[in-house]
Amino acid sequence: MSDANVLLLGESGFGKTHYGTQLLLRLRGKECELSFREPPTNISPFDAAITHLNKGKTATHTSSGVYVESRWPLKDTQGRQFDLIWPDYAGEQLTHITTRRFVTPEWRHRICESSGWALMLRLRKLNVPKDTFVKPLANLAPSSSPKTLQKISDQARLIELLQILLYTRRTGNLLPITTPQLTILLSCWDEIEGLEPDVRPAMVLASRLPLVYSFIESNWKPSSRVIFGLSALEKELNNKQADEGYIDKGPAAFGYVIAPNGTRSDDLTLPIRYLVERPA
Amino acid sequence: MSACANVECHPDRGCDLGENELQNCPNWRAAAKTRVSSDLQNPQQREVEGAVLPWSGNAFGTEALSFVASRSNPITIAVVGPYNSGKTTLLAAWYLLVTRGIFPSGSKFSGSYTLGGWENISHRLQWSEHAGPTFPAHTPVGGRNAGMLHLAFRREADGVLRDYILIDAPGEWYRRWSIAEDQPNAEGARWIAANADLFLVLADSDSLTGEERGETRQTLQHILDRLGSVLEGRPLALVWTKADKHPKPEIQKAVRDAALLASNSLREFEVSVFPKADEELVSRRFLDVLGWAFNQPRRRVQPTPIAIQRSEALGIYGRSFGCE
Repeated sequence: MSDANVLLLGESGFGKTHYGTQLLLRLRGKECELSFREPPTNISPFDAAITHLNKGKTATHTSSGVYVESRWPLKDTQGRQFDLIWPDYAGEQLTHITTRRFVTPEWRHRICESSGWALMLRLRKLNVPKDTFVKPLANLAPSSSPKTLQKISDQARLIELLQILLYTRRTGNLLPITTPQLTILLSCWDEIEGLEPDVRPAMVLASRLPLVYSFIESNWKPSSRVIFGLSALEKELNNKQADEGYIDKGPAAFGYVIAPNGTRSDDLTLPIRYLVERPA
Repeated sequence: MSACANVECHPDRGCDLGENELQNCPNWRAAAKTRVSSDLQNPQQREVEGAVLPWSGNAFGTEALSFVASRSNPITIAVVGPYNSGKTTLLAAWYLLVTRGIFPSGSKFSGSYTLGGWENISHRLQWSEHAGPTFPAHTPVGGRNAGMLHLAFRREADGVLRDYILIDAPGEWYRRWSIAEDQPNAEGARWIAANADLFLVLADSDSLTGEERGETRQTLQHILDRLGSVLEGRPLALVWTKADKHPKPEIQKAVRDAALLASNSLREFEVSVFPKADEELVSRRFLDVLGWAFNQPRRRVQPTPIAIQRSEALGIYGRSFGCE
C-alpha cells in the first residue's frame, strides 16, 4: 500500500476548503470511484466547514497561519488501498511564495514529499488585464510617465509559482515532466460565463489563460497532466442567507466535476483518482 | 524576507531599481535603520532553512545569465539600435503577443525567468537614461550590465526546449562603440557584439524621415560598419521600426547598403504598431521577426564561458531528479 501525497495548490478564495469538505463527504459514501476503507481518525479540520454547509452557508476563511494535513484511508473500486494525505491551509501562504520569493522549510518539505500536484484555478478571479491582453499594439506608443512598479499579472504570477515549485523540487523541464503529475482544477465552474455546452476544460483554460495553458502543455507529458472543471458546491452560497436545498438534501447532494472530455459527473473523487492512480 | 524597504525587491538577486551599488538605492537606504541582520549578510543560513531562488524575475545581468546557461546553451539575440529606435517596443510587443498565446508556429511557451522584467517593459515602454527599475542596462554612462530578458520555447516537432536571451541595451552604448571600438565605456556593447548569436539592427523610420534623418543615418551606418567588422557570419536582420513612416528612397538605400556591406545574407523586416485597424497584420509583422530570430542557428564558436556564480545553478535544470 502506498501513500498518495497530494500537494493542493490554490490561492485564497479559490475553494480549497469547500472542495476538501465535499470530497470528504463523498468519500464517506459508496457511489464514487474512491471511498473510505475505514472511517478517518480525525476530521476536525473540516468539521466547521461541514457544519456550515449543512446549514446551507459557506465555510469561513481558513486562518492564515494554518496548515493541517489529514490522512484519509481510501480504497478504489478494485479494492486497491492507499492513504491520501490531504491538506488545508490559507491560500495566502501560496501567494507569499511568489511575492516574497522564498520557500519556507515547511513548504519545501511539502513540495518535495508530494507525489502529485492539484492546482486550483478560479477563472473568475484570474484576469488577463485588458492593458496587456486586448490592448492593441498601437497603444504601445512610448510614454513619458514616470516608472512605477506594477503588480505582476495573474498569468505571470501563476507561471512563476510553478517555476518556483519545480525548482524547489529539483525537477527540470528540459524533457517534459512525468513526476509530479499535475491535475488542474478549474474551480467554481458554475460561475464561469459564456461556456459552450460540453466544452473541454482544457479549451477553457487555453482561451482564458493562454500563457498558463501553453506553459503546462509544453512542460508536462500529456499522460502526466489533466484538466478538470470543478464545481464543489454546484451553486453560489453565502454566509448570510441559508440555502434550503443544502439544508434539506445535505451538501453531499451537490457538486460536480467536468471530466477532461467535457462530460459532467457527480463523482468529485475523479480528479483525485486520476492523480493517485496514474503511473509515475 | 527582504531587507529592502520595497518588500517586492530582493536585493540579494539584484536591486529592483537597477542600482549596481545598493547604497545608491533610496529604498535600500530607507530600510537601513531597521535592517538589523540582513539576509544578505547570512545567505548560507537562509539556504539551510529554505530555498532561495537563483533568479529574481527581473531582467538578468550577465552573472545571473549563468543560471539559464547552466541548463542549456541559450540563443542570444541582440536588439541593436540608436537611442529611441523602438527596441523596447519591439520586445514589449513580443511579450504581449506571447501572453495572448501567439507564438512563432511550431513552438510552445515553456517559461521565463524574467517575467517581472517583461511585465515592466510591457507596462511602460520607453527606455530613458533615467534607468527603469528592472534594467540595469539603463544605469547611466559607465554601467556594465545589459538588460537580458529570457524566454523558453519547446519545439513541437522534436520536443527540444530552447532558451532565448534577448539583450536590450541603451542605444548610447552602440553609438559610442561604433565611434571607437576600444574605448573603456564601450565595454557593454563590446560584450554584446562578442557574445550574441544574432543581431537585429533597428532602423527608426520616423527618425529617418524627420529633421534629424542625416544624423540618424550616420549613426546607423557607423553601427552597421562596426557590427560588420565583428559579425563573422552571424545572422543579421535589418528591422525598419515605426514603418508607418517612409524615409526617402536615398536614405533607405544608404542604410540598406551599410547593412548589406555588414552581412551578405541580410534579412529585412518592417514593424509598426500602426495601423490600429489591422491588428492582425500588426501582430504578424512583429511575429515574423521573432520567428526568424528563433530559427537561426547558434553561432559555431561558443562565447567565452560565463563564470558560474552558484554551484547550485549547475545541472539543476538539466534533468529530473528527486529531492534528497
